[in-house]
Amino acid sequence: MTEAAHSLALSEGTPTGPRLRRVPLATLARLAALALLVGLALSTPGFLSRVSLIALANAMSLVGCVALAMTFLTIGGNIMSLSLAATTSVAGMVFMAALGWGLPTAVVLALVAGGVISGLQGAVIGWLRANPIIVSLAAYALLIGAAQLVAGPKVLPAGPDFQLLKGRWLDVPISFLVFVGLAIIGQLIVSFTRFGHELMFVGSNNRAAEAAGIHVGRVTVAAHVLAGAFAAIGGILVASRFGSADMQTARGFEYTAIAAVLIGGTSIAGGSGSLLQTLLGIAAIAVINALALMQGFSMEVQRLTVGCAVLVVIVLQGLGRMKR
Amino acid sequence: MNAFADDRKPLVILAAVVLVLAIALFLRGIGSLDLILFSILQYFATIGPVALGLGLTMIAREFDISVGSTMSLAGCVAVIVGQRDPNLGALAGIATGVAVGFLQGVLVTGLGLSSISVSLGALITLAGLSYVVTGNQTISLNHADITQAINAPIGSVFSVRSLFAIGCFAAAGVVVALTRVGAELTATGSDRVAAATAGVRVNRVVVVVFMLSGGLSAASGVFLSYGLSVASPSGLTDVLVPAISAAIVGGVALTGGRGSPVGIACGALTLCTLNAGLNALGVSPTMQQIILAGVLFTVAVVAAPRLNRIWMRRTQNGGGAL
Repeated sequence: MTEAAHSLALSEGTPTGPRLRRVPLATLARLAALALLVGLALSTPGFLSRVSLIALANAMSLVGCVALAMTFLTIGGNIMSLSLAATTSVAGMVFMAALGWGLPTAVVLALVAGGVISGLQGAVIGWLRANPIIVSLAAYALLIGAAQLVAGPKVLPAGPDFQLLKGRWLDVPISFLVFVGLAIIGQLIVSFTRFGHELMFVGSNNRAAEAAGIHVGRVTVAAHVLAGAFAAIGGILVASRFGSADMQTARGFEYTAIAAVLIGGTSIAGGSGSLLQTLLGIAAIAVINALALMQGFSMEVQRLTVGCAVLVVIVLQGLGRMKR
Repeated sequence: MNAFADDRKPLVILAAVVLVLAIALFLRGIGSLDLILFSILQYFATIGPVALGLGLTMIAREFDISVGSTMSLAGCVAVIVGQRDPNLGALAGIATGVAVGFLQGVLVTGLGLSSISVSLGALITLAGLSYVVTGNQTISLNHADITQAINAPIGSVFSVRSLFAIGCFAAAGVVVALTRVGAELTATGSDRVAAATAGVRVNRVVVVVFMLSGGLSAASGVFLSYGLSVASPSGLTDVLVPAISAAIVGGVALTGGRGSPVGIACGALTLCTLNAGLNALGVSPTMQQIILAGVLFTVAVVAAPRLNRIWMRRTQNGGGAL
């Protein structure tokens, strides 16, 4: 027992040393960016108004769920999934089609759909060590085609219950509450469960993890199932917001999601990171977008800004690793 | 490492697909063979160079996921500049791609970053850049003569576009087969430390490979946009799925160090033949997408290292009688 505890402490203690030394550059950059954002926000008239804040919360929560989902995969060492946005859309379609059986059934079916779609990919990636980028790219193309074949371009709601999710509670959008709730639940899973610790271990070095007796395949599948379920919740929120489900609305969410994950500070190499950081990352992106909009910049510039931010983060992570 | 990684296999797969297509066409009654060959080569012109560039990065054990964005950005740049001077436009588009590749190569080698992360950042940034340079609009070229000239049949099955693609493969094939470059590329992909010890300038190889990948994707994007007479920031074709499939079917191993331009050409032609065959058989575009995605999925599973090991073990245990 003591031996196991000792080795666990060692395995947790080893990475903190270099990480502490790595902090300054990344932290400085992050603090500078944060100061810039806050300064811009305060100097933009109307940014702190009620309407603007509600719009901000709304904008964050939909793609935010997908970003939380992505965090599990990035931490687990699988970089990103190119099919997560398609999974989101398909889950939304399932939700809309199943609403005739009532809200709870529809939610459960959507979660199952998301979990199964993503879990199957996890099985191929985890057990056969197939390349996650290629598997998820193929799954993306498959899902687009299959959804078109089975459901057509658009799924209309089979019942009115989705209106509930569009509402507000004490002036806060329900979708935002769901998003924050998910972030907290996800963070608890990562920080305090055995699965969470194994996921970190697998992400930082899957061979060492396997040698240590961790079922890498099982952990990878579990991470994918969780990611699929989280993405499905995003899909439910997207479908509810727009009153119908299609494959277009959530298109490109996977790129915003991975951007939020990386900007939040989760390492692209896997093995470290948190969902609360991703929450901050998505908040930063939402603030950038809102500011750009209010300052009169076009949609195009927002995309470029987010892209550059991602590149900067990746380079900073690389510089930090080099110092080590 | 890869069940496809065998020097003759790509050719065998290509022959099999061609045979199946031929039988299918024979049973259904042959339309115009020239027309079918022409459409195969036109598609080859779009995905071939991209698959070649991506494949070369994969042989060097890197992975350039940004090829689609590069292609689309180069097309936009070319059409914007090309409205005044089409030659200058084409040059600007290809130069953009080469520059993008150079920057990525320098980031990957200089900072020791994984190429997937760098090219992922590049993918998002370049997509944003495409939207900025076009102002989120679809832009037309307004040079009908050039669009016509690029797509006009030459010798009834070729066109300027497809001859360019074939030329790229021929040049790459000759260089890799006859010069040191091929050996250096394979060595860099197989074992970087050993290659460096043996005197290969591995960093330079990686940077060059990224420049080629950027330049080839850009060239494909320029030709596609000129051929369609429009450029769009959202991209004109989904190129990543067929390009990756072509490279792996063509014998490039994901673990690096294996593959050749000839193999990649076979892989690309296999996909183009499949595509043309499905078209000729009247399969709907949706079904075609599902089939192509299925091909990539199968390829990903078959190329998985663990599956290969299980397979090898089984054939070693029970395969003695065969």
